[in-house]
Amino acid sequence: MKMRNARFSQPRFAGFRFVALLSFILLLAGNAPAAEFTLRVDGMACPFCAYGIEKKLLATPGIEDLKVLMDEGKIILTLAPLAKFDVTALHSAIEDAGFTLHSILADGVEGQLSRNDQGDLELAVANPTATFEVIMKEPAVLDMDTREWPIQVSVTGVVTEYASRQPKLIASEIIPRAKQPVP
Amino acid sequence: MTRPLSCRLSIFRVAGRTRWVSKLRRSIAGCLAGLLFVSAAAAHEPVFSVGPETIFKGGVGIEAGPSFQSAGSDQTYAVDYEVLYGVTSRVSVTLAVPQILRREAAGQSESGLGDVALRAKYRFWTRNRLNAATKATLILGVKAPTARHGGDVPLGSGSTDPLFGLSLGHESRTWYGFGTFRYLLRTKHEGVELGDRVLYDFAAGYRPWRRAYLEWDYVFLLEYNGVTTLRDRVSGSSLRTGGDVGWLGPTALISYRNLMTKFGVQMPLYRNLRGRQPNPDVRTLISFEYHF
Repeated sequence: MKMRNARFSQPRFAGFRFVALLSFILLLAGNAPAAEFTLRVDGMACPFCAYGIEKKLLATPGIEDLKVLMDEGKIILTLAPLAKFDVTALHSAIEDAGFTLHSILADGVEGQLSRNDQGDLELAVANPTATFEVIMKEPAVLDMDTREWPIQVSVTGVVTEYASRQPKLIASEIIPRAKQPVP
Repeated sequence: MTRPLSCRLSIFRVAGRTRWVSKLRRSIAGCLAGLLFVSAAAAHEPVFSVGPETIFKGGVGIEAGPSFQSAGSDQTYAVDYEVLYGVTSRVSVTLAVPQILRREAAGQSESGLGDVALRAKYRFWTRNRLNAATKATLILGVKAPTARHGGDVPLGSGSTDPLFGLSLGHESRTWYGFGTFRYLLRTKHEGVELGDRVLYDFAAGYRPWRRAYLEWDYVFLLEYNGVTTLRDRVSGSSLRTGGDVGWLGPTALISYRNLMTKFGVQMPLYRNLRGRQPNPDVRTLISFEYHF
């Protein structure tokens, strides 16, 4: 994924590119609890039809359990410890069930950015409290670097640090959208 | 649920000539082929019609249940079986196999396999929103003449009949609405060109209690099903067969997770049948559907 942000186009961040991970990597130490993510799914009008979502999601690698909240249109996913969560697989599972993934809400672990050898920033979970958050001060558009699923993901939130070359990014909501040309 | 065709063929001798005249005595209730009814579905749908729902990709649904219908002295008791498979989330196929336990007509009765039907649905348009979905689906099917169609109490039409249709539906946490149009292209049988059949269905539903996922869920519907049957033809001459019937009645869908029970009863709100056909009285069914 590549993330673009007006703030990060400043000279300080020239050449600054984010390579956000498609997968939420949980680096858990010891007996850290499993991660939870909340999905907003559109089309869930009845419990009988929601069974397809349960079937498909539980068959998705990394998902250990789920809880369906009908009136809120949400599904709370529990990932297995150290599971690697593939957003593309999640999106496909919900589409195969006949529904639409509206958004993913991830609360929890602070993501630490680090710069790799190519000069790109990588986002990784380092906090063992088992969930993952990305916050930016201004809305940013993430280009999913995958040919199978060309979407853009919006990240909203607050950047906690600018001074460091390794700012913390915590996202309060990730909304998949149809891919559009990057301005 | 299937409604196997019920007919009687009579021979008349007129003016020294032997002319085969098909006097097709059909109970409208008994003339609805298996593919006209739908049971297996991925979500809530009308009980006496076909809805726009498909099952999730790779999903399998099985359904079985008894049905009853009467028209004058004609009565049919059947158990209908259906298997549903989700080819994709938008395409589902259904195999319907009716087993007629007893069909009574003119003092005689028969039992056996009904006409088997194969049906496919393609959900070509969907609009999903929070707690609601609106869908449009094309329906394509064919009924095979697998039932015994001779004798005084035939169990099938003896013809291979394709079906085309369109279904629209809206569902939410509280309200449901469905509208379906189907056209049954009936083919020839023993020299008789069977009259095509036009079916138009409307249903409105209500969920009085908004339950959680792992709780029993109840939806109640009021369904109207109209059937217009065109005249049969023999050697270019139209017969006094066919007509119009409008069915109305309540239905209920009770489900828990991946198990659904459906039942309903209907009576004709409107009847206008040609010739000497028995008027339909009532039809009812109950079925159990399981997805895995």
